[in-house]
Amino acid sequence: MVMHFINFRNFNTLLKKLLKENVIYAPMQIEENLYWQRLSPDGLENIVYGQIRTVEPLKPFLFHLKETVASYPTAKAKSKKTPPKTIIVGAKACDLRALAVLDDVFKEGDFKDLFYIANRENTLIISSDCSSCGETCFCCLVDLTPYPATGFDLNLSRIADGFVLEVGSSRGEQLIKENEFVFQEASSHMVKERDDVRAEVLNQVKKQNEEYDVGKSYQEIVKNNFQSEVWKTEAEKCVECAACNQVCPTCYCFLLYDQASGAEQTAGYEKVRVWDACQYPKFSQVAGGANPRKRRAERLRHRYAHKFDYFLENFDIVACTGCGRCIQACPGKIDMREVLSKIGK
Amino acid sequence: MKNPYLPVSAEILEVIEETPNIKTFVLKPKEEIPFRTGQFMELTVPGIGEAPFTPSSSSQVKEKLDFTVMNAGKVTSALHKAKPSDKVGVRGPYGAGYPLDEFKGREVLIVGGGVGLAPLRSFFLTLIEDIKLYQKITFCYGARTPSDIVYKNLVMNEWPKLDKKKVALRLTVDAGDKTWKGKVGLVTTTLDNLNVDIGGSVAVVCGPPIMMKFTTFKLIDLGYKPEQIYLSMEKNMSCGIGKCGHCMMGKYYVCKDGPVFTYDKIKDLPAIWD
Repeated sequence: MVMHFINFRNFNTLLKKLLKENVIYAPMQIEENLYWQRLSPDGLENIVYGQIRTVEPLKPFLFHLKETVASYPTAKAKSKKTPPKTIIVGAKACDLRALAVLDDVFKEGDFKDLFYIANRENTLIISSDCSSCGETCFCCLVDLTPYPATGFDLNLSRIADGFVLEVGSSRGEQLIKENEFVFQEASSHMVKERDDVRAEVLNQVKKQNEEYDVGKSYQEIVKNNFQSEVWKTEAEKCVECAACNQVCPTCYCFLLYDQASGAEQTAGYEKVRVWDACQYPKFSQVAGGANPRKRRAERLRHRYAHKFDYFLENFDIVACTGCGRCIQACPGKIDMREVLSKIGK
Repeated sequence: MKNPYLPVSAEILEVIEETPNIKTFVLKPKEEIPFRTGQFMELTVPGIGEAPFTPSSSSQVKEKLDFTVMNAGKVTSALHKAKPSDKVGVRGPYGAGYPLDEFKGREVLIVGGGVGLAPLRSFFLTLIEDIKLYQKITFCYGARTPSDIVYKNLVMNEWPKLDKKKVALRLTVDAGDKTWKGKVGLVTTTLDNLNVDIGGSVAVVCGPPIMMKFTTFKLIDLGYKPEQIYLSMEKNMSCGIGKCGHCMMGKYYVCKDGPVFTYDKIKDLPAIWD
């Protein structure tokens, strides 16, 4: 495959050009963490291409926190304003894996989610390699690397003078073709520079997580230790805030509710979808009062079993990306790596 | 592409009071909604919310849908206030339904409890429309008291008139009253002295979780294999399309993979009766 090279100045020129027809979001530093921020033409130098993933996942761009999914009895006239085309710059390998999980849920099967699909089609993804390892990162334990192998339109790997650029889709290819003048072919020298950095960062992630690797797959651990006491002792620390669900890039459970639709003259209603969370006590309760996951331990176990066993069974992919956001967000300091290694030992 | 969250508007043609807290709503949807018996739909009470119900009418009847609903929560209590000509929304059908092809040539034992008779009515009506396809049907039903029996006219007057060689009915109540001359006892007692070829039959069970639990155990005692027992699982089916996560039971989405499961598929999962 042909690797391209683009220098910083040219990449900025390209972003400026793209900003004319797209809304662009990129990671920017606020205090010690990275957050998705909307890019302005005079803020290009604020983009952080390397480091690690942002605090927030990518999912709200595609699977909105709250969205009206149906209007009835008569469908509302569609607003003429089509949403602006969106480009995400600086998504990480773990972010891309999460999109593969969400794609399985919302794009595949008998019932397709038109809202997610529209957002997905409207969004171009320019990912980038991690240049370091966060304290809670553990992608290597779920068979990922801190640099993307797939799932991007274009991927950027930073080297001394610019970026080595890999094309991952026909849309990415198209973008290169339209802007041929700013790209050159990457030399083997440049690709080697990239590969050296990659190996170094992967090594960091592996080293940091050595102690958690018990030599068994997470699916095995969850499946074979359903009755483990560790679920109970760990769940003691859970305050039922569901922060783990909210920041998880792959958690996709939601709640549908109905309401009157705004200030319209004619009586109309809408069905609204909001993110929901399996760690809330009544998530699975039925109107009659029965609740199959009454206890915190059952809910914690369900979350892990869903990610590492059920999702794998249903879709042939693990629904955890090792991004470590749930560890970072948990007020009770529940550390997924620790829980699984304790159970698996 | 079709928006799976959009309900079809339906007019309430008739409201039938079955018991003090159970009503049947006869709906005429704006467009036909074909379904296989055992599949369920989401009923929307406009502006209030939606809840899952299995139609209780035969899947052969196209122009109307019956839903029998117990007043239990927010949506069902709003529904119980509805009157003829009111509008509701219907989404579906969802789930797999009963595998009728697998039942052909066999005996069918049906065990229902309380409002669990609703989906079983649809199932039974569908079976008797083509009764020659099945060896025999034994239909056991239990309600708490005589006044809790749903579809009283069918259960007490119409169905007993069916060909006794093909359809055996067994009715019981947990507690009788002055007028009750029939059997008194839990629905599991109707399974005593069954005249059924157990090896050549399937058992189809629907009712409250506790009733399904003890019925299943009894059926196992009687010699049924877990894969012969078809259970309707009651979980919090919300989206109906295998996404929202509320109804998950192990790796299954009850809405998509069920709601009817054979017992062998679920017996080792946690808290199936809760």
